[in-house]
Amino acid sequence: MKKMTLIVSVILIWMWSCKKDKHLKPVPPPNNNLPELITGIRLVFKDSVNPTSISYALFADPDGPGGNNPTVKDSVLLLKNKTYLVSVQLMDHTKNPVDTLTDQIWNERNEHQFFYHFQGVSIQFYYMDKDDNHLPVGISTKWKTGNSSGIGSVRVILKHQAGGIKNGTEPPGETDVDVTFPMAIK
Amino acid sequence: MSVKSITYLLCFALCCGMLWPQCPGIIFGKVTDRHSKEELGDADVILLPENITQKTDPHGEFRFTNVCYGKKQILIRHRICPDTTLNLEFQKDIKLKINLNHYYNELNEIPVSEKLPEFRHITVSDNMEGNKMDEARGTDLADIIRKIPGVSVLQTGPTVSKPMIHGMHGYRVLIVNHGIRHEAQQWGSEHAPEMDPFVYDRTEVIKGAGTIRYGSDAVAGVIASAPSELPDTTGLHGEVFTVAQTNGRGGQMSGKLQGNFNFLKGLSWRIQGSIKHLGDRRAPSYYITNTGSREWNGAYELQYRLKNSRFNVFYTQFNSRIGIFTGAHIGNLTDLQNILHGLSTPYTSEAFSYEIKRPMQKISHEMVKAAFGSNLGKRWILNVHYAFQYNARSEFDKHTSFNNKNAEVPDMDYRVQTSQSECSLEHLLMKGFKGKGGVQFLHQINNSFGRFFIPNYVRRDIGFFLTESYSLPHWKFEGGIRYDYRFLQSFYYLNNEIQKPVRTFDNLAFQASVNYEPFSFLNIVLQGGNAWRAPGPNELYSNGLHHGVGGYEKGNPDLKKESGLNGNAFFELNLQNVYIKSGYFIHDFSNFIYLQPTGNYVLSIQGAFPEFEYRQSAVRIQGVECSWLWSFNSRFEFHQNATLLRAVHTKTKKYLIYMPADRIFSSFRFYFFKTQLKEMWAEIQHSWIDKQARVPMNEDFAPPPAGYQLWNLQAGIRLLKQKYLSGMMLMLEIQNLLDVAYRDYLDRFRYFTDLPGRNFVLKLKIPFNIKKMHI
Repeated sequence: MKKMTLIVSVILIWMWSCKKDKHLKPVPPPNNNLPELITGIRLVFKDSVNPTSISYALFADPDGPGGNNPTVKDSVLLLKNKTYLVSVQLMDHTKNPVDTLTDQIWNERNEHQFFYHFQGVSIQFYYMDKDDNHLPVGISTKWKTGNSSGIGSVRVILKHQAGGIKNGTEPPGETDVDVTFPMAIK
Repeated sequence: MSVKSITYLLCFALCCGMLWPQCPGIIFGKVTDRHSKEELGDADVILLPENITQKTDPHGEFRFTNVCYGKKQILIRHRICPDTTLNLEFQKDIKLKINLNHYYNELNEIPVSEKLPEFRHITVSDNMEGNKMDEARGTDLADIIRKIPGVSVLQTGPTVSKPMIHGMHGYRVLIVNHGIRHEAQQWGSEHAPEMDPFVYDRTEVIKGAGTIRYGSDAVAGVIASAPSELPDTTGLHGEVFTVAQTNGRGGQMSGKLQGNFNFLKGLSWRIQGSIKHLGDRRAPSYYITNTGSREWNGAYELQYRLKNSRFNVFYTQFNSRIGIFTGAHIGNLTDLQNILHGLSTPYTSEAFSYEIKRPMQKISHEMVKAAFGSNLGKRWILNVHYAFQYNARSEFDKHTSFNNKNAEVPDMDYRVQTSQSECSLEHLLMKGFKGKGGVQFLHQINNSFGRFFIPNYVRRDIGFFLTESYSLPHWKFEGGIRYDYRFLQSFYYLNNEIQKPVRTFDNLAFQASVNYEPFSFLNIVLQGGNAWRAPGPNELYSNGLHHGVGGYEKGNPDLKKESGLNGNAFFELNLQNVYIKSGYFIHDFSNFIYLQPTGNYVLSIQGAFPEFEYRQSAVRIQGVECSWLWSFNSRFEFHQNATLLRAVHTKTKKYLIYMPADRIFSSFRFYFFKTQLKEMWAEIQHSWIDKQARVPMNEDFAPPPAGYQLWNLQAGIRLLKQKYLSGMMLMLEIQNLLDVAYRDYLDRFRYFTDLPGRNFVLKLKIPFNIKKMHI
């Protein structure tokens, strides 16, 4: 009897200890539950004089880093002697419908900043938004083209500068986005 | 002096040499039955290495005269008992009382396998156990063994340490948990072994022929940990082990209780549990933000012994939550360059915190094992076991999800479950031969969720092994052969289409060794063999961003198995006060798998990342290990060990990346007193790690850090053989005494932060024993 009790209790303890995971199957479902991902960035250009004239430039890597190369790499084409109000949209193509993440960046504006580097083109650049510490965010910006045409590029960088390290300069923190658009002014 | 008198003198000397016994020692002993106390006559007692056999008289007594001093082995054979060997350091005449387990006619317990005293295996093994283990407690498994020659530690900041043997880690180092292969996500350099060191009373590093029994993929070696034997006498035993430390402002506590039930003789049990709570570690000038850790672990073991067999159930559960240094998480290479050029400083803090935030790892691991052992006749032992393991690892990147409802969703999530079984047959000494053979099965399913890095896969292994050893008076030969077959099917999506590639691998592995002991104080060992390893799923199919190092890793589905030859030669010299062990090792791989920068960049929305790909090439890893101990009298002990290692691509002569630098550890111990009842000591330890100058050009983001020296100081008191509290230990240790700011080449966070500074550690072990228990 004692032995029976023992054997039964051993088996019971053993059963209890095994965390059987019923979800383990070799074949994965096609849509893994991916964390949030930035897969696309879109620049929206609004002519300050004629707000209905809107143009877009998109950089998209729908399957995220690796895998296939970025599928859409638009160029930015601007006209001479114009002022553009530019806004940035960030997208997650792995979600259906495509998720925009710009609002989340704005919610975390005290630890994010966009930086723009122009090369080969002459642009007068202004930040049009500020965070709670009066530092620029860069979701809304103003770009003024001059009288000279040119071909070059614009590099857009989004830095995540958490923990009070945001100071308006670029080096601190971690890069969330670093994309270069070819650009021309005609 | 005339020629004649010289001749006389010579003759006299020669005669004396012949007449006077050169070896004056006497070993006298009595063999009795352990349980009935019956004196056992007619047993063979064999003295090795002399190989002299005596029979015991009807009173169970035997006597060897003219025995040389030195290391001896006494083997006792009796028709109804298993062979028993006894190792002794013979220095003066000795009287032995030998109790045999006399089992055939009795219902008493008998020992199976592990209980039997073993012939010393010829392996270059090193271990941590007993007092040495206790003094090292309070750290991770890798740190406990880090001072064993040939071992080094691959770190990811102060919270993740992974053991390396001869510069190799991951699948090449097999970790054995109480006889079971530890199966988790071993491939990751930031994946530390999921084991609670408090469960284990012994951890051994096995290199060479001894590894073949565990698996051929252990090309570098095996780290085997096991708890102590369960008690076989009634009573309740236990211990509470507490570790408190200033750096991290926390500590660990472990409790263990074991006993034997009165109502059912032969049933013994043990339960154990431990917790760990540490906050941010501190480098000499700042807190390394987010480097706290938590652990909560539990284990139990039950064993039931019958007349000829025993049944054993062992269970462990490991849970941890580990903070990863916040400042080491970078978005792309520019961020890393900014840090390396001082344009940006990794975020460190002036304030201490216990909180663990992203980035972090949450891990749990469970293992349950059921083992059965039985004696078959007089000389054969059958062992069967089955084990199930489940490992869940969730990794959280620094970035909280933009979408807050997903805040608790890990970025990478792995689940792996493994079933293993083994059936082995062992034979005890028969005409000098002793050996073991068996078959092992393994079935594993891996699931990955979140960001893709490695695929889901199903793995099936079958392995056969046989090891035999043959002993002669001054010689011992050992050989092993092993065949393995692996089936690996992976599942992943490529452009939304499921891919199901199947790879199979098989190979034969051999190991052989010779041990020659010309004198009792000298032992020379030569070993050689081949080893092979199937490529891991990460090496074949990984495809993803490695955030910590800003690189894009790409698997290579065409990899062949990694194979190579290995060998080592060493000697052990055991003189009165000095012990020296020194040797040379070599691993000569014909197709070592390694990660090579391709020179290409992977374009992504976060910028361009350098691409790394798994390649194979001929590689030679060789080196020297040396260790020596000098105790000039009973109060002083000086110990030193050194490891030198060189690893090159045989064809290009280029150095391998991430190989341990040359190192020397020294310690000097002084005993204030050392009696049979108590001892008190102080020890000063010094580690010297050279700068790793042998690195490949243009493959790393920054040059290797400078070499460094660390001083540790410890003092302790231990009670021995007391009526109460026998084995109690109180110890105070100061790690990094001089508060040196240093970085280690094998720390993957060396680009970002120093390692922890000064740390005061208090260790207290309180054992207790209740002889009578009425359950």
